[in-house]
Amino acid sequence: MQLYQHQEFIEASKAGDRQAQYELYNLYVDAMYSTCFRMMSSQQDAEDVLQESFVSAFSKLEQFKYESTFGAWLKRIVVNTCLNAIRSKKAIFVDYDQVHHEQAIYDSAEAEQNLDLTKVKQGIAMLPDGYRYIINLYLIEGYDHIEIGEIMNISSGTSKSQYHRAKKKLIEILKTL
Amino acid sequence: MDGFEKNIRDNKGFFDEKAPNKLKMWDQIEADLNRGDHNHDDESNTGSAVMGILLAGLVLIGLVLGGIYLAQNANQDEQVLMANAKSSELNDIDTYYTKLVSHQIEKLEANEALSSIEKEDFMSYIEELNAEQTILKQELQKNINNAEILEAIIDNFNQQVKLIEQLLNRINHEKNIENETGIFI
Repeated sequence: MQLYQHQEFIEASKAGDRQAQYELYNLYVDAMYSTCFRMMSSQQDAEDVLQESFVSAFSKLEQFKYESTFGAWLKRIVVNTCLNAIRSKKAIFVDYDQVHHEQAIYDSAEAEQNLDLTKVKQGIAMLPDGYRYIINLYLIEGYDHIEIGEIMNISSGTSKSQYHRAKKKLIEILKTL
Repeated sequence: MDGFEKNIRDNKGFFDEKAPNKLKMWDQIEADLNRGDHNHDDESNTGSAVMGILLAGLVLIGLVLGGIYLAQNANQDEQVLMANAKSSELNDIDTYYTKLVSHQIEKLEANEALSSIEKEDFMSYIEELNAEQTILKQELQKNINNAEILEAIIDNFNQQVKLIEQLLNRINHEKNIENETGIFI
């Protein structure tokens, strides 16, 4: 069963078995690094946050009760650690001036027809930070708006409206690439 | 979920990155975990009830302060988001009316019944309204919750649209009278 995937390593890790912890680290490091890199946009920051996340996860592994997959539990820690690191540096969402001059025409169908993933990746990287976080959390990490609301301490409605603005902005950027 | 979103979600592996320096990162993680273990052993060795109470107190204070900090942070984020939501609504209003006015101006400029001097005269009046609009928008940025200024901005846009419409209607009306006169003559 998915929920009990890697149970052996997890239980051994709870008991402080360093080798089991290393096995878990090896299984999840690439996926978690990807999440960190998308959120932090720099290799150094992504590595720092990733290390902190794994230390935090192994330190509180006793709290993991197989209510979700280990990967989902770990990713939540990673995302929260990223957001805490970002919060310590700056405000999460874009300010008024950044959105004021948007003149985007929301044309998802057109963007869909011409979807070039390399450009989408480039476009996401060009988004203002707040928009980038919400696009990554929703489209790539696969969280729904209720989960994003919980993660970011906002309502699911706010998450939805921020997401739609971010998507509009992304489509606008894609048209220029 | 539309096709654009589905395409991205179906190909999310494309957005992944390989972790560089895996061993180096693990070394750091292991060192941090070992440090934590040592701290844990030291604490166990003290075994003193007084230390336990002190630590519990510190943790409690930390939790309370952390809770207050997090609550304040969440509140600030919510405020920023609310301001952004309002800004975006304003932006949408601005975009809508700007397009509407531009469309009317295009119709006006394409109208052959008006001379270029007449058009310039009329546009100077529209420009005055635009200048007033700019001042209103600056005022609104100082206080985004000011409903009166927002109403004034919308009213200003409406005036521009109405004036152009009235002018175009008048020209068309005159043109019709001319045509009718032509038929009957």
